[in-house]
Amino acid sequence: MIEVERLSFRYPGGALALKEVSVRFAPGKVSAVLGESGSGKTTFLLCIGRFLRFRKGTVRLDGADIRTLPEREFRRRVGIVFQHLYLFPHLTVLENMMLAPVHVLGRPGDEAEAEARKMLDRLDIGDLAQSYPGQVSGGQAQRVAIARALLLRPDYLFLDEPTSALDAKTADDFAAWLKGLKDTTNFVVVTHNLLFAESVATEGVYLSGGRVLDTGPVGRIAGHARAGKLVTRG
Amino acid sequence: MTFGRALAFLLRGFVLTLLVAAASLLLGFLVSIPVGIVLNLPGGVVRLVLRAVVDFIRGTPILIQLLFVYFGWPLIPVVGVSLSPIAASILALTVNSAAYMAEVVRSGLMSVSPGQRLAGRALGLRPWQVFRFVVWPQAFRIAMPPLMNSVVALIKDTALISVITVSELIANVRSVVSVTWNPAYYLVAAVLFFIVTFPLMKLAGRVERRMKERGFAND
Ligand SMILES: Nc1ncnc2c1ncn2[C@@H]1O[C@H](COP(=O)(O)OP(=O)(O)OP(=O)(O)O)[C@@H](O)[C@H]1O
Ligand SMILES: [Mg+2]
Repeated sequence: MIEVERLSFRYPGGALALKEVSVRFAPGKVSAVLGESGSGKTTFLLCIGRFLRFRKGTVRLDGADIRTLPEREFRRRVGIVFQHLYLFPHLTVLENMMLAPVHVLGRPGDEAEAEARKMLDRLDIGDLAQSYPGQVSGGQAQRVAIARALLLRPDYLFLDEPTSALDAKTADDFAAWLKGLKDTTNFVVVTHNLLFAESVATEGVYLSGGRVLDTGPVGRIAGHARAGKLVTRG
Repeated sequence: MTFGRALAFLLRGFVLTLLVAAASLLLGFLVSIPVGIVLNLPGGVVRLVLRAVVDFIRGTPILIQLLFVYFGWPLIPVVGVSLSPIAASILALTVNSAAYMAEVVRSGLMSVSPGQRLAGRALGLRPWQVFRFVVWPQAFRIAMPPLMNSVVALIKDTALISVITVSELIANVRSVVSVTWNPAYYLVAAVLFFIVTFPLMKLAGRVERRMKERGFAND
């Protein structure tokens, strides 16, 4: 369980990007974070992911304040895939995927490789193992970034705009695939893509101007987004 | 003096030139990495001092640096002892190449997108692992072509150590020419340099091309 309580965040010299945000992400569910551009979705992920230091509010991971958790333990339990992916361009797809299993989990190289290849096959990009990130398509890169994060087997995985480079069909397949994994990993998906949100998530959070306007069943939340004239993309 | 004997004499000098250059480059490169890292840090007195030293070294002739180290070293009160010409050469050339390479390392490190560090951290890598596996390999590939320029420049600059009495290639070629009255030996010496520097220049181009093939630019 991740419990966010009255989280506020201000960028240095900027406006208040998050205002007293309170949300909880229960295990066994896929949640969607919706909101228009600039509403604070990425900022919210960066705070929960300990990439931005917030002064007000608390974030608890299974009851423990995340600010007190040792870095490595926290990273193994909470994964994040950024909007811009940040695959490592000097490593092949396979090497990108093996880096953390080998150097963070201490897995032997051959095991890590076998597992990475299996994951790539499941994502239908097995033939890309030896390609470099600069040589694959946007949608393929997105799948590689997610696969790379999943190999650490995090309890929670936050995905920022995971469908931005996927076509409708691929996004559907991807939603089905994520749902299939929800018993081992809890996904929180930040997205503009309302159809994707509705097909993948059961719960939703609607952010607007840094505030939570509503939390609840994803259908209702997506309704707010539609009423808010959110442009449906992807 | 036969051509064969002259050539052997030149080669002996050239080996010394190369050894001094190699030692200086190796030491200079090792020094340039931490210096390059510090030059990127925000603020700090250490950074400002290093910045000034690096700029000063890059803005002054290497010949003066050589003379200063060789003749100035024994005058430093605490040290007192003099340096052998070879030691003075290696010291001066190390400092000089470190200054140039630190600048290259600094800009290489800076051109790695901050997102790369974030992604490394998000995967649970420790800060030194992020540097070792994510940031440094990318910075090094970017820095490789200008680093090779520094390497080539330093190898050529090593010719100057003859002024502090090291009998390397330039010193030897001058004595050969003074005996044989044949300036063609200067050309022989130039060719020797070129045999070493040319592959290094080509290597830089090859690394650059391979980076492009892998789509390195758009991560
Ligand atoms: N590094 C930063 N410095 C200052 N202000 C920032 C910074 N990053 C974001 N902001 C501001 O914080 C607010 C929230 O931005 P954020 O990126 O979280 O929005 P978002 O909901 O993720 O938008 P999008 O859907 O376009 O990705 C915006 O007003 C933005 O201008
Ligand atoms: Mg965003």
